[in-house]
Amino acid sequence: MSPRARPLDRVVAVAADRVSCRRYSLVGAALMRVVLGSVAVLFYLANYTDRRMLFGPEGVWPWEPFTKSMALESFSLYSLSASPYWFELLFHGGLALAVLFTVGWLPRWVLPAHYVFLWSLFERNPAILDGGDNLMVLVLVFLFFVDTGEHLALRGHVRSAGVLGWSLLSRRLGTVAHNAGILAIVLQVATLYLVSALYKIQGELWQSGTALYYILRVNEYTLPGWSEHIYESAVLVTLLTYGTVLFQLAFPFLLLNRVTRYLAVLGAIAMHVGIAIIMGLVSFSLTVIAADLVVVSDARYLALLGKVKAYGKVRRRAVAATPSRVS
Amino acid sequence: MSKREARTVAAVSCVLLVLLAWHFAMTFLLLAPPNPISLRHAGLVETYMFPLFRQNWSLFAPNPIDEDQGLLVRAKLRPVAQGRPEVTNYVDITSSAIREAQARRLWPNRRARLTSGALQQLTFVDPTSERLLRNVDNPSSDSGTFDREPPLDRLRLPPATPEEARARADGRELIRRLAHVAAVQRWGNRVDAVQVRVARHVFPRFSRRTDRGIGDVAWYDLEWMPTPATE
Repeated sequence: MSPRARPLDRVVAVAADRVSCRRYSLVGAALMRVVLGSVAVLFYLANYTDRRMLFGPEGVWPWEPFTKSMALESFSLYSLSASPYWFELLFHGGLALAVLFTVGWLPRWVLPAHYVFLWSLFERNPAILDGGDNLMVLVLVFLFFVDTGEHLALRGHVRSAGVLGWSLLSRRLGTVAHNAGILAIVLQVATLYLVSALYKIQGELWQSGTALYYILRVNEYTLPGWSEHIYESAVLVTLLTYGTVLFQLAFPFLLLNRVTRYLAVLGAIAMHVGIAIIMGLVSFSLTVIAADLVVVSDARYLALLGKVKAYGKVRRRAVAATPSRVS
Repeated sequence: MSKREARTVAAVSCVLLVLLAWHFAMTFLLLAPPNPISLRHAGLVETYMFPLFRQNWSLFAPNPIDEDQGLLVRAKLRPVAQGRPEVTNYVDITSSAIREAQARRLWPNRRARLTSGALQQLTFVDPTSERLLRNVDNPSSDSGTFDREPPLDRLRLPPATPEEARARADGRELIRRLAHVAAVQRWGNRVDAVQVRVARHVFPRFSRRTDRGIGDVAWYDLEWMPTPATE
């Protein structure tokens, strides 16, 4: 850029640099891939022995009513044929793609196929899905644009040597798309929390601080031996009910500040670990946590890793310094 | 970066920003309660958002679930030789799946979701039409948390929207198949027709929360349904 460049050009250059020179949240994106991929793998495996009953052409939702009901407004590979072989092929193929995506084998190319297979499976029996599955297919679309292969990947990228000239601009544009994808994921999670808080504050039981009592008592969402102690305590029920609404409402605004951002992520992780353990909504919780992970910056993750390593070194030294009893 | 490259990058960024703004504006209009803007553009919003970006985050809200639901099944059995057709007793087909999911705590399978999922479809009411219905019945109440209209009454009314009609038909079909699978497992090939009883265990209100007894159990019966093989 020459010093005599017009002011507009300078603004364009600075702005273009800012959005295209660094890929944000590469560690978070990689972690998200691993967690979302694992949730999908475990979905296939947890339902493996029930697969014919839940998704098969002769199962509880047979092929005929399925195709009739879905044809109007959606798409599923499972609707292409009623053959049990086709069903097994899709189910096992989907499982293989989910594994490849999790371990990071060319995730940019595997992801679209994994998405189509998982979408098809979800559409095959919508009655057993939950909000986690819904969030999963939403954020996978945004992940199409994101570079998830930079860390924790078996083979993150296709390494093509050469092709100069084309590469700088295309790399810059790839970075722009990556950053837009990360922004979309954050916006989606913020929307999720905000909307679910807005619906909750309209409900009488959420207003009166007792909603958690009813939810924790439902047999599908109860942890025998533990939930009773929580839902029978008036203090815990009130604090948890109000705390949930308050946190969800605050989440999008906590993201705006660098410090409170980490509060938002830690709070979300704590809340969803609780939901996973107490309510048994494991895949739902892991999916939301995965989407929260891109909020944390790479520098913060690396600092955290450094601390863990330093701690490990101190421990090893301490162990080495302790005289061994055997010798 | 050359001037030309900077301009390309800036232009692409602007396009992506516009796309993001558009996408999340549509998302907001889909998720927000019906309002003047979303009502005017409902067609556009649905065309863009469905099916890929379909979503709903009214999780346990505005009114959280406050009852257990379960399905009981009984069957009409074809007579053996010259005998009479038999009708079995009702058996619970929900509890065992839930117990199994409880036991596989860390990675529950989705079989336990079939009952609640099917019932949710069967009794699905479009939120807007529900609000209208409630206002017709009782113009003074809009929230109606403790409305306990039996779903059967709702099922007697014709579906208010095409989505309701489809969800109801799908739910009924799914329940019929579930009942059929369970009945054949227990009573074998003589099963001729199945009937489903939906049991609802309404929890004691919060002030009686330490009451661990069974509380109020209500139920309603769906009509006899031919098993898929005998249609």
